[in-house]
Amino acid sequence: MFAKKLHWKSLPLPVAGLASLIIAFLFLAFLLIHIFSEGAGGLSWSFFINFASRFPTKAGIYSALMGSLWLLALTALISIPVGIFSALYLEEIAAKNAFTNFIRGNIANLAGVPSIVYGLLGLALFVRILGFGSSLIAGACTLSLLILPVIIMASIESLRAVPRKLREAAFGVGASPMQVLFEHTLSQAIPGMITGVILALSRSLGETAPLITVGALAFAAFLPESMTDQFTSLSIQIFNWASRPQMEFQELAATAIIVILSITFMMNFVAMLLRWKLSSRKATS
Amino acid sequence: MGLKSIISTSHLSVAYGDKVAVEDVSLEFESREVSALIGPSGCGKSTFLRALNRMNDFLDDVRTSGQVIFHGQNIYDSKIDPVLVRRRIGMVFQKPNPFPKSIYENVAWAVRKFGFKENEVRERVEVALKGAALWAEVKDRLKSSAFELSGGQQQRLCIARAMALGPEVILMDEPCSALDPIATAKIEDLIAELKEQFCIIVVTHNMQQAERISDRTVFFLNGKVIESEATSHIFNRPREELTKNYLTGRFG
Ligand SMILES: Nc1ncnc2c1ncn2[C@@H]1O[C@H](COP(=O)(O)OP(=O)(O)O)[C@@H](O)[C@H]1O
Ligand SMILES: [Mg+2]
Repeated sequence: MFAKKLHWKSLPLPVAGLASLIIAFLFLAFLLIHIFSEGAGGLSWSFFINFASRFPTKAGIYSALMGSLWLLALTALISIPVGIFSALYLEEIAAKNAFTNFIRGNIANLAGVPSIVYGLLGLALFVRILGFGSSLIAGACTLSLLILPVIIMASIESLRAVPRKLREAAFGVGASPMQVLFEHTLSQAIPGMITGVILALSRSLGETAPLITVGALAFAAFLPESMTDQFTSLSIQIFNWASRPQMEFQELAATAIIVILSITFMMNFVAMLLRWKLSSRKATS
Repeated sequence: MGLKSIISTSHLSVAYGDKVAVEDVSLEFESREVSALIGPSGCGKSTFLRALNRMNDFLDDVRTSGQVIFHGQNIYDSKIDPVLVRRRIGMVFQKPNPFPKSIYENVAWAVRKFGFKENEVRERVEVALKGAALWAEVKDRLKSSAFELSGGQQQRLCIARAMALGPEVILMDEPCSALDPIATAKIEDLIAELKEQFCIIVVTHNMQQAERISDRTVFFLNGKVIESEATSHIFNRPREELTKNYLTGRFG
């Protein structure tokens, strides 16, 4: 009841905002409807357990899906500890000098580097110099580099959001700096960090260019069995199918897009749940 | 230096970058005494108080010189672990800042880290909560979140938390400034009781409060101590003209 009445002069801004929101939403809806109408028919158990094939009716995403899950797991294993510890170090442990300020200031720039550049770096460093070959681990290392800046930035943000009075409270009762960090600050920062990590990982799921650059297979009729095996991924499979002229392959691509979108949405949903659970626990535990 | 004084400063100065916030302060504080630090805002009361248990260590660009002597040792000596200092010189902050944990855990956390067994921890938590006049209000809901308490209760919880380690000195920085008059009265009563066990140093911007609760009053102005006297003395017959002007409200 205390809301200010909108003056007509201030109308253009909300109207423009609403209009852009509606446009964006319509595009998204159109995209989803298009994909579902084209691909939903292809969803079947055999689509999940068939390898890629020259014959559209027999083709599936078995090796691509497994490759993507492998990549996701390995990337998480590498990027989560490295990212979170980098953030802890930069924000809480390292002295604030010109050098660390330079690094902090440039992490955002790293997040803006095109993914193909990471692909080339991965090709040079992991595939060639370190001799990993075009393997899962080379792909996962490349994707990790790609999403590390995002994880580090999200983690630094959530560390900064921890109120200073909480740290003072802990120091005030004689907590050591490490106790303050690991037993008070971190537990407050973790929900935000997890959200950042999951969003970054779900982004890595769709990355295609860097994987092609490190030499992922475009066609694989076998499953990777260890992290030194060659692989393909859902994103590459989709790219491959979508670039063929036949309608049947277009439909396969749409079906695979439904799968990859579902995984992404599920991950984001889990991020939301975790955040909600952890932040409601914050106040009581 | 008086033999009885438990904590004292000698030529203590603190600067933030180029700005000197506390300048050449030499004071002594005794056990079982409440000292009030008064003075206009920005005169360095908080800075001085935080220098007494090295809470300024965490601010960037702070320089401290001179000495803070606690039990005959300079706590700024390089051999001294500031973590151990803070366990013996507790602190209560301007705004209540309980941990985002249960009422019980707020007090128990530091005690447990100090190495006590869980049954001793429980005992100490109870003693501290009783000491902070909070036990009756919370004994049936020790497991619920500290954030469910009122502001005044939270501040008493913070006092209990500071007491639980058995410190000798408790520093309080405007502990009532965020509280209503009733909660303030409770904290003032509590301070009067705690005086039996601790050396208490309270920053306050409220001169009536200083008069009510303290044995001794220190008047700060621009980072320097203008006058430090028995409270009754300072409020009735201040020695310095500046003190008189401040107390009669000519500035501040
Ligand atoms: N963290 C800080 N960095 C820089 N200057 C500060 C900081 N804290 C306090 N000061 C300055 O030091 C002076 C004393 O501040 P403070 O001790 O908080 O005074 P009081 O508690 O008496 O109001 C003020 O001029 C204030 O602006
Ligand atoms: Mg202050």
